[in-house]
Amino acid sequence: MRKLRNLAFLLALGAAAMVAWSCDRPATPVSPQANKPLFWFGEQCPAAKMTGGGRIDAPDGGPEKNPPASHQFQTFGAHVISDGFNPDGSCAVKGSLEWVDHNMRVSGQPLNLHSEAITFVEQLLADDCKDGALHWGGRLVEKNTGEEYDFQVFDCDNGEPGAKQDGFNILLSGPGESQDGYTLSCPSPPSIHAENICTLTGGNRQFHPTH
Amino acid sequence: MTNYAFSETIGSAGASKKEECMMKRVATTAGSAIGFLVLGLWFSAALPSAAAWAQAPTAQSFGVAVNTPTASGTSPLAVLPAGGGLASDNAPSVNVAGLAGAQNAFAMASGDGGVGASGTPDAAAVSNSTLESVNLLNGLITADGVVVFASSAVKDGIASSNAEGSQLANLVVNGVAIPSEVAPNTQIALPGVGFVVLNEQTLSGDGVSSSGITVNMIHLVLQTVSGGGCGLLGCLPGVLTTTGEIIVGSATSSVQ
Repeated sequence: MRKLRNLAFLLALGAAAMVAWSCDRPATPVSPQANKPLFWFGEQCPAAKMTGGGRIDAPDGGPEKNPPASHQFQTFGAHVISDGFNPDGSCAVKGSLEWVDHNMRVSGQPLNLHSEAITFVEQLLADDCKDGALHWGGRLVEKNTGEEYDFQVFDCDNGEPGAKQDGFNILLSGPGESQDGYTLSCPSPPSIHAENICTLTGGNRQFHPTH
Repeated sequence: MTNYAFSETIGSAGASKKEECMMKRVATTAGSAIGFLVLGLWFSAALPSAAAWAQAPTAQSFGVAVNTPTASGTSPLAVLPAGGGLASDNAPSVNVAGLAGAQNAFAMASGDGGVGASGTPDAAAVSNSTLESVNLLNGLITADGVVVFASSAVKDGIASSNAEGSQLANLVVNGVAIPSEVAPNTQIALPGVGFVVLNEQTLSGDGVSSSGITVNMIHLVLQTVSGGGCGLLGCLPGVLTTTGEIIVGSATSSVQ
C-alpha cells in the first residue's frame, strides 16, 4: 500500500514538474522581463483552433482607427486548427493566413502575404487574452514578389466583440530578403495588449478549445 | 417488437397464473424500457447535436458587383467554404466601362464552428473587403478608399454581429463630401440616376442562438422614370423603375 502511495506521489510530482516546465519560459525574446513576463508559451500542439479575421491600424496598433486616407491599416483572415500530435510525434496542424498591409507598398500595391504551410502551434498564456491565445506559424509567400518567408503570429482572443479587444501580430524571417524582420509596431499603450501584440480595430478572433 | 411477444415467450413453459402475471409485469417493464431506449435513440438521431447546430457559420465578401442590363459581374469575391476555414481573392484593378472602377481590391472570408466548454454552440464568421480609388458613373461617386467588415459570433448563449472596422475615405457623392464614419443606412437621392445608400446594414437572427449582418458600404440603385408628363388635361406622375444596381464593398457574416 505504501509503495503504491509513494508511486502516486512520485507521479504527481513529475506531472507538476512537467506543467511548471512547460509554462515557465520567461527568458525568451518575446517575454524579456525575466521576473514578470506578460505571457508564457504553454502546451505544444494543443487540440484547438482559432478562426476569424481582423483589422489593425498600425502604427500604433491601438484600439482606435487611423485617419481613413492615411492607408495606415492592415487586414487579414486567419484560420488554424490542430488535432494534437500524430502517432509519429509530428503536430497535426493545418490552416491558412491571408495578410494585406495597406500601408506597406510594393510597386504601388499593398503588401500581400499568403500562407503555404502551417507547421507549428502552441498555446500562449496571457492574462489579457481571456478566451485563449495561440502562437503559430509556418511558411508563406509574398505575393507581390514571390519571395518566401518563415512566419509566426501571436493570436489572441479576448472575448466578444473582437474589435478593440482581441489581438494579433505577425513576424517574418528569411529566406526572403526584402521583408525579412517585417512586423507591426504596436507598443502598449496605445495597444491594450502586451509584448507588441496589436489591438484589433475591426473583425474578431475566436478561440475554440475543442473541436 | 411488443410487450406481448416478451410475455408469450417467457410464459410458454406452463408457469402458474401468478407467476405468469408477474412475468408479464417484468416483461412489460423491460419492454417499456427498451421502447423508451429506442425512442430516445430515435430522438437523438432526429435532433441535431450541439455541434451540428454550431457548424453553420457563413461569410462572404466582394469588392464590386454590377448588375445592369448592359453589364453584370462580381470581383473580387470570397466565399467561406461550407466546412469553415479561409477564402480570399483579389483584383489589382476592377473596371466596368462607364459604370464602376477600383484599384487594389481584396476580399476575405473566414470562420468556423464548434462546441464551447459549456456545451453550447461556439462559432465565428468574419468577412472583409478593401478597395482603393473607387469611381462610379464617371465620377458621380468617388472614394479614395473603402473598407467593409462583417463579424458574427455566438458563444455561451449570446449571438451578435457588427460592422466594426468599416470605413470610407474621402467619399464624394455628387460633389458633396461625406464623413468617413457615415451613419448606417444613409440614403442620398441622385436626381436622374436613382439613389445611393451608404453604410447599408441589414441585421438578422435572434441574438441568442443566431445572428447575421450584411454591410454594403456603397449601394447605388439605378432608376428610370417612364410615363407621366403634362398635357392639356394636367400632369400625370411617372413610374419609377429600378433598372440596375452597383454595390461597392460588401461583407456578410452569420452564425447559428
